[in-house]
Amino acid sequence: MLTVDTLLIFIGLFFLTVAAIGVIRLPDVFSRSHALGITDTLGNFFVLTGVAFYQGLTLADVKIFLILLALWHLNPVISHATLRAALRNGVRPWIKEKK
Amino acid sequence: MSPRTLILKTIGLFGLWILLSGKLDAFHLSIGFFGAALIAWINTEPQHLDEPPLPLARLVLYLPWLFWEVVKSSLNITKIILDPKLPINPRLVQYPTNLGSNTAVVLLGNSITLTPGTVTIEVSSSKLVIHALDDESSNELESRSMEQKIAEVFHSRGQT
Amino acid sequence: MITLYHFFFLTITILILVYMYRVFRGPTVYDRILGLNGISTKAIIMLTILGSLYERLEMFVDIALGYAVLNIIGGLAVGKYLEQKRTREC
Repeated sequence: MLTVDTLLIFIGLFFLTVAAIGVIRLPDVFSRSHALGITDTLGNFFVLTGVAFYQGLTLADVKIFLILLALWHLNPVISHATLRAALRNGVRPWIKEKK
Repeated sequence: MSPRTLILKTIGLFGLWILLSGKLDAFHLSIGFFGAALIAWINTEPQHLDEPPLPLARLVLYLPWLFWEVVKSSLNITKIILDPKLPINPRLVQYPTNLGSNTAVVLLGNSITLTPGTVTIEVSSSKLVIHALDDESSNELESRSMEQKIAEVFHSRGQT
Repeated sequence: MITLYHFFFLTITILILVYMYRVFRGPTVYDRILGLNGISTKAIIMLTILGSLYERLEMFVDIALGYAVLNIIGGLAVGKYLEQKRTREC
């Protein structure tokens, strides 16, 4: 029942869940983007590799690899653009209070 | 643009067409070839000649190291998020760099953002502003191992 | 018949709802953009899982590839727009 593809997807779903918890818990927009970084890299990698293992080697696997490549290269660009807009428009990062 | 670049671009786009369509009969192949040639011909703007060519072989060797870094820092951030006390210490780090070419700085910024725990916010050719989530990731940043790796990729044989 | 892939599908739906909380609640507009970016990444994953569920992965992967390109262009366009607009309020 627990084959390679489902195992990989379970690992990926664990990272996706952790990222969602981080997006809720962390205090400001800069920290939340770190939580999204886990989704963008490891979560996507494990889930998409698991789906690629599901049917054996077909042409769809090459396309899944293309999706993964696009996401890995261009999601950092999106979060960089968003955060640069935030910083230039006066959003200040949350800083821990000195105790 | 030299004819060599035009031919290389056409071959690359044609390969992408074959991958995406998956059909090998004469009709689809000819349409794909003409489309690829047309797009490569439309995009004949002059290249940035001062940039060195991308060292593809050493770039492929750099990627597994980057993946291992991503795994390590992802586990670190996972531990922080699941910790009930949320031990974060966010800060902005000024990061001066002296990688020569713009391509190397782009690769550095993209690798830093891809690694969870550090995000590039501002970038210019000599300085980066980076937001680091906790002490461990900012220490990792201060050790400059990633910049050394990228300098090796771009400069080890190209300058001598 | 319920398989594990139904469970994966349900989990990703719940995750999208969690991100929706951030999109509706977010204090600044940048939080909302980050939440939407997360939702579209989840939608790409969901499409590939749906493809495995319906045994038609070739078709769904094409849709996911197009969706990935749209997501990237859209996120970048909104980011650049907000950078020029100088919005302070939310």
